[in-house]
Amino acid sequence: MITIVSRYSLHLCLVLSLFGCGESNSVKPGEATLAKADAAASDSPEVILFATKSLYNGAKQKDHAWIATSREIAVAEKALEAGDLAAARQAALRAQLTAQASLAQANLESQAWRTRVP
Amino acid sequence: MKILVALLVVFSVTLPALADPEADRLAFAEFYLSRFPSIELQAHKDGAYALDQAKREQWLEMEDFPPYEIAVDEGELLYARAFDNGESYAACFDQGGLGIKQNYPYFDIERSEVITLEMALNLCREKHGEAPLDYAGELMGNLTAYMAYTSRGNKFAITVPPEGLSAYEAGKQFFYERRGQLNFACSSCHLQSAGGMLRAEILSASIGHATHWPTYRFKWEQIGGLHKRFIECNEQVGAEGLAQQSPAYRNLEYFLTYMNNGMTLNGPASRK
Repeated sequence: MITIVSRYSLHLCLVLSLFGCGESNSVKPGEATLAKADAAASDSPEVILFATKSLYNGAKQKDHAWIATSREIAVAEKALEAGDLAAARQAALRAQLTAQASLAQANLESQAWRTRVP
Repeated sequence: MKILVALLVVFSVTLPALADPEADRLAFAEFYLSRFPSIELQAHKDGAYALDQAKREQWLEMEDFPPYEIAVDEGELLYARAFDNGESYAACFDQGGLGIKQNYPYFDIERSEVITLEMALNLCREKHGEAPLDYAGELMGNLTAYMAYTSRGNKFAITVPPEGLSAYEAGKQFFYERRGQLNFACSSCHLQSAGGMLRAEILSASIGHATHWPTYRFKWEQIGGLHKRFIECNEQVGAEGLAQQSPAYRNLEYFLTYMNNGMTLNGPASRK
């Protein structure tokens, strides 16, 4: 019985997710922040950076942060210090995109890894 | 329908309790046996040098004058040096600490965490009033090189008690999870693509990945531990590396070393 359950555990999870039972109905913190970050895309570099750092920290907490995100955050901060708002905004948006992708990766991989076990 | 859903929920909740490390290990070994039918499992302890004869010959020539020899000698002196309270490392380990690396890492039930050899050394130091060593430093490299040297020829015998299953599962998840901007898992290179080429390098099999640490890597120009290599691997795929001896890396080492159970220790070693 144990072997059967182990063998079909992935299938069970997939079925559960179809029924909508595999996930909590509550909004995850990362997703809420993603929505805020999308809304912030039209905002100032400071606002974009603030939202992006929240995304980045979310990915970091899941051990899924990307080097590109911290690098672009650093570029944006340096541009802000220099008063170059256009460059800061551009770098902040790049950081935001990579932070969103890293968090999406973390969420997807929390289950997808099981498909790779021999 | 409600009964079916309820059963599925029960199964999903109990899944972690059904983890079977030994079944995992057998499937892991079987994967490499079928992928490399002409290579004995034990040969993978030499990493990529088990997979390419020309590279192996070059490596064997380098091993004639092993670059880690100085680290072993200095580690022996360091190991024997008494702490300020008169005790030494030998007081903290079974068999005086010699020939024991095959039992690390282990799951400490009281502390509820994985203890690696490096961490055990620092716990020993702290117990005797000494400051912990830098995990990335030369002294830790030398100490572990000596301890690995005294364990050569022994075979990994890692155990996973029921209390350690969640740490084992976390390490397993880390190994198979894609991460970084390149979206690679440890398994992408060292399981799925083992034996293939990444630029000019041959991708080694994970079945031998825990046997030979610490290792003198010529690109590092120093001896370093397995966690240093984890950081390097993560950064190579665009992921931020974690701290050496972080819980995630200790769990990864726990899983990986369990997968290496039965493999012969041959550390310290040298790599490009």
